[in-house]
Amino acid sequence: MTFRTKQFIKKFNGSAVYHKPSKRLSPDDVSRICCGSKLAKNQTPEKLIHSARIHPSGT
Amino acid sequence: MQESTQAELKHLLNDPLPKKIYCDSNFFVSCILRNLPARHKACQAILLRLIKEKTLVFFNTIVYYESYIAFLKNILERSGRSKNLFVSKPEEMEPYIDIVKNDYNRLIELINGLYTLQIKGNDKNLIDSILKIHVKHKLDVGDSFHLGTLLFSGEKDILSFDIGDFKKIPNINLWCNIY
Repeated sequence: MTFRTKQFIKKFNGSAVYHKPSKRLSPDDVSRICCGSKLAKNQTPEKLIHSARIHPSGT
Repeated sequence: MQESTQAELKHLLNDPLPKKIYCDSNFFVSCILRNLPARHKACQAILLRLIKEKTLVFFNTIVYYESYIAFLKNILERSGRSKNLFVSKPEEMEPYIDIVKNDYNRLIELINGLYTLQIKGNDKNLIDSILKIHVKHKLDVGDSFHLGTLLFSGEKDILSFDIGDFKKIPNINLWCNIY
């Protein structure tokens, strides 16, 4: 935890719980959690971010 | 210098992310539910950025309550039932329990994969901030909790797709996937 994060947590006077992930989620993990399946074979995180950028008005 | 009268809009996929960002429930819900496909896709992309950049995601624990309600309403709507069945006839929710549980468990897994600071309601000063926002900006209760918590933290950056309500709030940065 960085000094700045520690300072930030102090602001909450013990009313906040900090959590650090035990493992880094992979793009496949993200896809499995969000969609129930791994990333498609030809899909990469970069392509996903790019395509999400092209169609930004999904509100 | 002229004081801003509304939120500054930031693009989650184009602008450099801050070190820490407050997340509204609708972000977490849209990561899990696919009823708005473009938003769901954007959320996946945003998640990848948050993970890669080790951004500290902080939020009020009301997120769990609001997400639970959203999951219930979603499955009821998809099943052609009244969205408020869980209030009027909770006993008829039995067939949907596993689906809601699955959605909720995925939410937990997602949150556990992020650097988070989860803010509980047990700070006496937090309610002051929430009430001020509620009264001054006429937001609904949930939004008042989110914005009140953000302002209480002294930070400005909030990730939310609730653009209509939040964009009229001055001195915050509203991160979303549209300008």
